[in-house]
Amino acid sequence: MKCEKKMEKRVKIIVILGLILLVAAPILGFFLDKLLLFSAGPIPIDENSNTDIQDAFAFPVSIEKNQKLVIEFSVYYANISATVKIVGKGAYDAAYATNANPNGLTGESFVYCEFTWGQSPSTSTVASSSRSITEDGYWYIEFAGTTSGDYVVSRPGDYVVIVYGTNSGSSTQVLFNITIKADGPGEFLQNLFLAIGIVILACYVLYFSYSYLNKLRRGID
Amino acid sequence: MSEKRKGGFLVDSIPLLDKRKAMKFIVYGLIAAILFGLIMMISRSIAQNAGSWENIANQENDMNYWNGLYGYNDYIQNQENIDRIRYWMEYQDTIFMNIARVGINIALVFILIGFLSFAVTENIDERTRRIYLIISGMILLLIMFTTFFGSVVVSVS
Repeated sequence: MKCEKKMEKRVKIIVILGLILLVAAPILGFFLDKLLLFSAGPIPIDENSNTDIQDAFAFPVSIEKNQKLVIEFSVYYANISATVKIVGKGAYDAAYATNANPNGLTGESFVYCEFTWGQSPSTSTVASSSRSITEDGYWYIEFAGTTSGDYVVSRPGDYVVIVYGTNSGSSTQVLFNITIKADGPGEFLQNLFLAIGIVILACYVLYFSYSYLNKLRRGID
Repeated sequence: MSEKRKGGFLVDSIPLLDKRKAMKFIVYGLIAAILFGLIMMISRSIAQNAGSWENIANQENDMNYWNGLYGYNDYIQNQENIDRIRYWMEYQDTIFMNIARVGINIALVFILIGFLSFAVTENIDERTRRIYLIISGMILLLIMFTTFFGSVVVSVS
């Protein structure tokens, strides 16, 4: 009798755990879909960055296979013109060593999206190797290594996001905002939690049916 | 007199249950059949409405993109996921319909045994026993036809 009660208690706990996993799966999936790597604004850099890469903003990132970067780049400041590029770590290191001009660097190809209501997403997405903003603007950039047409292509490796620019006013400061995110384990965790939750509930249903049939058999005999 | 003996000979060879147990078999068989029938209906409904669900999911995907919640690549990934789920919604029908079909047939066997037992219970009058026998014969025919002929489908709408 005691053993049965203990068993019932254990089964209840496991079923509750299964339900918690099922509820937690989409929540985890949503919150861990993208990992925030860097977010700041306004970031000041000197306008010398337009000629000397050592003065430019640089954020190194590593991309795994099938992982994407999302970069939200914006400027809302007077007299500022800023440009964002993503370059391979090797190319960046070589340019940094000689303090080369970042304008001469060929950036890796990415796609930027313009969220135009009613328009097909395919027509409002364009591939590019750099994006510039003068005084006011916002770009939503997706990057996975390179592109094919307007689609991103996964090419894992080490890259550096660089921003440089000029100030046409009396100040030499270049201000911009940038947020860098990477694909997180959200989808994997969501599927894992859902699968475990469903398996637990399915096992419970089988256990319940088995116990019920056992009782039924006892009743008929 | 000889007919009665013949009938007695036939029913004597069937495993017998008393009335109480026979009723239990019928009731539990019916409950199981209803549950499996419910699974069948839910499964078929999900499969039939997969297209409508896909339209809603695609519209939400479009609106999330236009709201700037994610970019084009995530949009495409979501679109592929929506397609995959839609195909699963349609395919699960095959899995659950077959499970439910087996379950219903087992439940019908329980009901059949229940009615057969009533048919051979001696303290029930002869006419009622014959009716029970006819019912069990009909259930047996139903099981045989739906099991061995794929084109025979019993549907209630």
